[in-house]
Amino acid sequence: MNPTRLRIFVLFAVASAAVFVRLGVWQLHRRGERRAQNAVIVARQQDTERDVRGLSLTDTTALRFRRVRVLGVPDYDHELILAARSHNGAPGVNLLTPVRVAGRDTAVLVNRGWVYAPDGATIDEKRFRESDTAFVGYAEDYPSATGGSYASKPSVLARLGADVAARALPYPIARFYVVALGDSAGAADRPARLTVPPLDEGPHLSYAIQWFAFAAIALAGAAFVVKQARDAPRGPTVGRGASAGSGASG
Amino acid sequence: MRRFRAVLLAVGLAAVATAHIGSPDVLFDGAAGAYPVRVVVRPPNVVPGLAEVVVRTTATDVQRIVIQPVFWRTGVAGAPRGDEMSRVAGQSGTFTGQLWLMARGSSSVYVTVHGGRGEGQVIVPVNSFATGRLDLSPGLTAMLVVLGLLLVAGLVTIVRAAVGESLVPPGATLEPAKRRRANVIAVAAVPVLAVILFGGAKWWNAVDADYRRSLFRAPAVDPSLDADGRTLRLAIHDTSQFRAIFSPVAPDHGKMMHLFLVRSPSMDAFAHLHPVQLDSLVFQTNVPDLPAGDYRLFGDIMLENGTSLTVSNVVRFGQASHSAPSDSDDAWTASVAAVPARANAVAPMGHGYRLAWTGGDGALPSNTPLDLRFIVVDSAGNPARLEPYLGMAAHAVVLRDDGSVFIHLHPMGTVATTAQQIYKARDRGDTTTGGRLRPDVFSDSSMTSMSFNGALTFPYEFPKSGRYRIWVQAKPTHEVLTGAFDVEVR
Repeated sequence: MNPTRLRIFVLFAVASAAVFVRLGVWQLHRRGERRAQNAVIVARQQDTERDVRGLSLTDTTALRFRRVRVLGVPDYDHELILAARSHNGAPGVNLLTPVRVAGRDTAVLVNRGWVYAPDGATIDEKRFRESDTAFVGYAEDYPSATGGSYASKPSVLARLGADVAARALPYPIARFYVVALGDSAGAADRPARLTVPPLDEGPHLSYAIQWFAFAAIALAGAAFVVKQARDAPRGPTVGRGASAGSGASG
Repeated sequence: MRRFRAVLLAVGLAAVATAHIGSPDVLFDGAAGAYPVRVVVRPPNVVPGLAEVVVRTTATDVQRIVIQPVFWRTGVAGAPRGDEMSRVAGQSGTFTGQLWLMARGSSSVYVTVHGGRGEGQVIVPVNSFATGRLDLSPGLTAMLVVLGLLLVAGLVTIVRAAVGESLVPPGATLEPAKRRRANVIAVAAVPVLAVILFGGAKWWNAVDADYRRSLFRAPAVDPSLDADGRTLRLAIHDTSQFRAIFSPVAPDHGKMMHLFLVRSPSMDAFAHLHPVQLDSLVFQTNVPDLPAGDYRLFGDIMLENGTSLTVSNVVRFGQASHSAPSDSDDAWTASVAAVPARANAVAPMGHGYRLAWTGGDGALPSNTPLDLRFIVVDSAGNPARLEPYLGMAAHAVVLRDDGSVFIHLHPMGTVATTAQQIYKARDRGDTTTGGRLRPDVFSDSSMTSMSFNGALTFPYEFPKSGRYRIWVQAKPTHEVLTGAFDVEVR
């Protein structure tokens, strides 16, 4: 290989390795953040169950994943459907029921769980109304600020968001919603409750190992190429010496 | 101590469109970077619709001005490219343009000025709500009816030809029996077409009804007084299928609500209060020492998405034992001596301070951007130094005597500084993981260390003729003082 090209190749390999190492370190940091977040979630899950009547319904910073109890009147007439939710591989929807809390103008949206829907959107909601007026679960942030609903059916949400839920209801709602916990098996007349998300460390460690492996491959590959270039036999020289040799053999 | 009683009278008032009643045009007076500008935005009453934008500047080095509509949900990243404004011929420093407001909700106009001193930008928040329908003019209606009848007649003729003349070779005569058959079928086609037209009309009316249901209507406020009449509670709620309040209420000038009370019909008592937020849409304030009577109440709230709204109603106060103010910035006056706005007219403010009207004599024009100019003078007649009141040199309230027009003005115009801050924060991405603005966006930026001279200018455009009262509140001492003028608008 041309020495200039070889130098450029080695520089590129070293730079790539540096970037890969940095990405690996970044993944390790992400793993650390995930661990810290999991520790917070575990602590909040183990904390005492709280009644939403005593909580700020607008400031949600310290609320996510806390165990809460919602006691009130479910407003099934304004129930929302979160479409395209799968459960054990089956298509279905989540039922989001606003619960009117006594003494507050602000309702709390409760995700009562999953029910089967062949098209992932259409169900007979009346079949799944419950007599319970108390729901125990954990508080969760809305995944987005906006969300989206179907134009023909404003009560069916394609994406859950604070704005789209608030627009669909005739009264204010809390800036968090509650995922009801309980029997996750479900029944013909009752939704299957959702479960707490797994508190694992995610794929960050394996991603970090992959990035470090890429760095090692880049460096080892560069070293291999350099070694090959050095060990390669020199080709016939061009110029005076070659002419002399040629003349000698002739 | 006397026993006191309070009686509540709740009367619905006219619908409002934004942080005003009956005064939809938006005025901003300030700077876009290094360039002084006055921006007037006349929003459409249907959405999608065209907003008229006029920008005036006294800067002589302005080369071009670009206006861009930015909707709250999309931010600048999702906004269309800006349009260059046209210079108005013969009007130095005046530019005009139009913008499509495509979606309902909180929107804004970004005005970017390019000139010899570089680029400067200002954000003018605008509420984009459908508030009305566009009616057909009688002339257009008549023309469409005539054209429609021609189309129906043409269709009947086509049907007749299809079952008559079209079945015989060219040049041949249609047999009488076939002619009769064609005529019968053509006549039979008329009721069929009528049914189709009727179905079309039904569909059209259904679409119109849907649109009417989704028109913006002002949120309502239900006021209630406690048993001894000392505490006023306000519960706000939406009144139409289109929900205006879907975003949390955010502080404006550090207050969750600016409540104005005006005794009606005399307009001789005035209060500017700041109720505390008890729940998402429930507010409460102590009733100040105001004389008994019916009061028009106007509550200005700002939503976290930059929407400004005014709710209104009427409340009756009895003779009550009044408690301390709920908020240290509450200000009221039980007896306002309003003065007709004439040249050199002076209205008393109290403590020796006076408010001088520096406009001229005569009625003011409606539908014309104006500067309402005042000077606060001390007892010696010198312009007073003003402390900031809620971050501003002064506040003004304009109310038509029948209550059909209400607006809360600042020297910068009709826009709220908080709404501008909200849009800036939105563009910077100062949001939480869920997309909500961070609370520190709403920190009160009161200019507590600043002072202002006593000359005050409030840009405003009266929407219609009539008799108006203007209250001006300023802080020449540590106390908020109020002066008032009556103006005639033609």
